[in-house]
Amino acid sequence: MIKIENLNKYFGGKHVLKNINLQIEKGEVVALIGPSGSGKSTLIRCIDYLEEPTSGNIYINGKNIAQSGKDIDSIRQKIGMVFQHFNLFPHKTVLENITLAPVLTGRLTKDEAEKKAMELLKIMDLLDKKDAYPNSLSGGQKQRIAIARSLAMDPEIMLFDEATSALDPEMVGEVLNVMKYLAEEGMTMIVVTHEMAFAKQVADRVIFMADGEIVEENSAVNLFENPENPRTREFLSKVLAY
Amino acid sequence: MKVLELFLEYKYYYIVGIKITILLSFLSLIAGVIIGTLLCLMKMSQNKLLSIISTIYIEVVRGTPMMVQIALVYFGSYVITGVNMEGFIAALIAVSLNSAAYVAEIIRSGIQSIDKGQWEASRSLGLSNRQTMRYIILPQAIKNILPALGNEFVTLIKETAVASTIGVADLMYTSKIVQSTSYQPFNPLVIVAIIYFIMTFTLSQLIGVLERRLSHCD
Repeated sequence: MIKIENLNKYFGGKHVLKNINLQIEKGEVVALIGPSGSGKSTLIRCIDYLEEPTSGNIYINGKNIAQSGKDIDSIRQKIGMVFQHFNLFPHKTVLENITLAPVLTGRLTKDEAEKKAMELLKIMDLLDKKDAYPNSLSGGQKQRIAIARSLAMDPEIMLFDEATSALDPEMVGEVLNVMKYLAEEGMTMIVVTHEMAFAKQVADRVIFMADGEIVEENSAVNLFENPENPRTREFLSKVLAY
Repeated sequence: MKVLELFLEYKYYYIVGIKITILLSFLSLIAGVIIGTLLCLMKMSQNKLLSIISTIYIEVVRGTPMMVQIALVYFGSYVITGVNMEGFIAALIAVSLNSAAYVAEIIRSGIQSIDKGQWEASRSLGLSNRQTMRYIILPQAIKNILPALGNEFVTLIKETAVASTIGVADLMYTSKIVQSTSYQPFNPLVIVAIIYFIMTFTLSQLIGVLERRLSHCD
């Protein structure tokens, strides 16, 4: 479903992604972990082409996104992206945030989109907020709306870029629960996260990155309980110390 | 109450002046916004040539006095085409082109003030560049630029007074006529000052109402 070949990315002279090769199958939940600045976010931003790779290829369902030209919009419609800072549209109500893209891209009529939005809001347990503006919501509510907004496009892949990092601790759980629900529903997901317990519980595969490289990848249980690489061990001993 | 008496005596002159000033301001404002938006799009475009042309234009217009520009258009049109351009048209062109440069910079700063995350969220949903601009960025940018744009409109009304230097019978010109016919140097100026103030104050109040109305989602 997603195939990444020899991906390199430079920011100026800084080599942030070093020859990444990765393949992700339909229905897989992959957690990307690693220290700050290891290139995790850059990697998933490349998948949505929010960052342009310096070299290498990324195939989404066999289509090379670097050569997609104008088709990039239709490829992106199949990829949902959830950001650390939510990026809801502040001038639109919650309902409008969710219905905007399906209507503008012609996938759904306004009525269909609203019906779908209401279903999603029900899943998120936020039906009563449909006419609110984003600035009146809490962080956890905003992030759940942002997830609903992505899901309204019926994506085949969902990318989560540190979706809980900007949240107050008591709101992390409500967002992780939604993500867990999606994983159980069979959504293909790539999750950049610092929530190790979540990665261990929900991910099929965990990838440890450091200094722009994939250092180790394995099933969640193996990676957390029997890390092979010394760098993985060092990282896990730090984050799991408490 | 000499000022009021003087105004009533010459009110028909003043009314003609007010009409011309309002018409000149209104038309230049609209033209300025349209041309300014185009200049802004040119400046922000990927096309280097368009961007450079727009940048040079904006810098030159902002770096030269309005009075020089209006004279350049008025006399320049004669030199180039050999036909005398009507003062009002020359003033309209000069004021519009001048205002456009300022409006372009105001809009550009408004667009750039929108968080990059808004672009990314919109594009990641599969909306095109154009849709993102139209439905996500511009509506938010307009709210941010309204105060600065209001300032520019107020400035524009005041600057149309320069049109009197090429013989356009605007409000400022009226004051000169009344000065010479009434033999009063001071009071006619007080009257135009008051009228200009009423016009600009009304406009800034209207823009204030619009600002409050657009801030409903904060």
